[in-house]
Amino acid sequence: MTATDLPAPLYDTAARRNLLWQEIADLWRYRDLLAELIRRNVTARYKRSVLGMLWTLLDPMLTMLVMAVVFTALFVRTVEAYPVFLLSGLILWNFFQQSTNQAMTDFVNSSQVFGKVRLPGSVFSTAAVGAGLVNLLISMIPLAALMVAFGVGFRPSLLFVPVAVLLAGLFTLGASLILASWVVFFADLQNAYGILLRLLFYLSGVIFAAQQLPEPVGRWLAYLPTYQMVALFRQPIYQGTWPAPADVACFAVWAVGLFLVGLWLFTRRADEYIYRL
Amino acid sequence: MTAGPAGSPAILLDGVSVVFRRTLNPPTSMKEYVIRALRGGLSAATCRALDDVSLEIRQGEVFGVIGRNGAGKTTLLRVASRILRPTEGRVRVWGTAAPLLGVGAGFNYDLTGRENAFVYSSILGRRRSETARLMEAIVDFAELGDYFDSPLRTYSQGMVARLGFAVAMAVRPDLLLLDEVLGVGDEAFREKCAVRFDEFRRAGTTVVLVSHSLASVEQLCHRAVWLEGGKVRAMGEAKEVVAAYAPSRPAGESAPVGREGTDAERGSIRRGERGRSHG
Repeated sequence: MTATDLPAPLYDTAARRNLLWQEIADLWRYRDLLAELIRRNVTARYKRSVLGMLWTLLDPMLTMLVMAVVFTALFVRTVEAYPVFLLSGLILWNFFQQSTNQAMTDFVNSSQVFGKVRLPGSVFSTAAVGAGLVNLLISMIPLAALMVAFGVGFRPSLLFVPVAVLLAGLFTLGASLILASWVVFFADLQNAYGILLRLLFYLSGVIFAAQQLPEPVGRWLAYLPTYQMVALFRQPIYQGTWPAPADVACFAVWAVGLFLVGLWLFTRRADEYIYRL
Repeated sequence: MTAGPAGSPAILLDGVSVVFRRTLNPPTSMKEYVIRALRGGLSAATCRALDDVSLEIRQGEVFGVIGRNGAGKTTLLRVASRILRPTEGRVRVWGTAAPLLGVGAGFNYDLTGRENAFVYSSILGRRRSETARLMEAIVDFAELGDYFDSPLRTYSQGMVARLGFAVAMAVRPDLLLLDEVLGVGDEAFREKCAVRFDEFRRAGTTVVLVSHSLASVEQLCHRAVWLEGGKVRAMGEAKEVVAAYAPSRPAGESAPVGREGTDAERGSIRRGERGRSHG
């Protein structure tokens, strides 16, 4: 067919393209969808419950209470203001856990939409992490209340918290994209990941400080990126000190690295999902 | 202007094949995958949903797609609407396509009709401000009244379908890909949909109509293609293609006129005049 005199088509499968840049450009073009999905994730979660959004505050508080009661007997002598220590780790862990799980579930459940409209697939993972960030911000309200109650001062190191959240967000988004791209091909991943999460939860220092463990176990754990993620968030809040530049740099490499790997892995198969979803 | 003038191509397919890798009993779990991989039993059978299809659909025409179930009709629509990237061949599309219609694409039944309208509209790539501007027309068209601000789970199926249609068709698309449409809602609503499609068509929208109803294809479409087993069996004037297809079709497959909303279709998407002035 003579195509020379035709105007340039809007869509041409023969056109050269870069899957990664196309995904990022599409994500930007669909930013209002991203906002809608985040809004939906945050509000619809407790839509049918009587207390509604209040559960976003209550859930980490009650979990913290249960754990504090259980673990105070073990750690009360060595950890000061244990509830603050625990809750600061817990809300960040909840963010990671909820976001990654939701990213997988939403992507699998999106098959109905995916078969009807063309969409950038990463929008679901990004929205899951975005909603997790909103919930994390809300959870900081009970945390602040607890800090006041236990006399943990608000120190200038709190200025580091946004950086810690940003890095945790990148790390979580990277993990979410990897999980979402795999779960399409292996549905079991959701179950296997549940077990892995439980293991990581106990290894990542949410309920204890590494110093309480016998050497060298504590030192080994500190290599775990999820351990670093929790520690980096907790230190400026609980200890009230600025994290060491080396620690920040180390996790920043993890966070940016996992994000880029996740984006690459996810977009590499962007055309295949529809064949499998 | 993305869509070219009337008569220039709207959709061009060059040797397009869509191959689904169908592992016989695809392994859906890691355990199964590992076991079978070890046994060397991951033999994949392929299924060619479209097989070397080349065709041209022109701007402003109403193009019919007929064939038996599994002939590749829906796959053709998915390829043209950018949902599915073909395994082989080249697809070119001039203009933006409306979404394939289907009940409740991405609807959340705990959210209200209004909230769902915003979500669905953004799924279609519209900005929120644009949706807000369209909202009045959407409410009007969907005829939901007070229910618009109630959760979707309180809706009847027809109401959900109406909401979906009202949002999807709030803006005139360059391309309208219809997969056995107008099976939703009551007679009055179908008539209303048909009127809207006709408005679109007269304004220059290219329509691709997949249908089992030969009568509507014959009456509505300028040209048509007959797909069989993913291949083009015949293509050309709608009347001729339907005539060629009709004898081969097993008894009872076509929907008789009057079912599946064909009355409404016939009533309103009238066959456009060839070479009509630009819309």
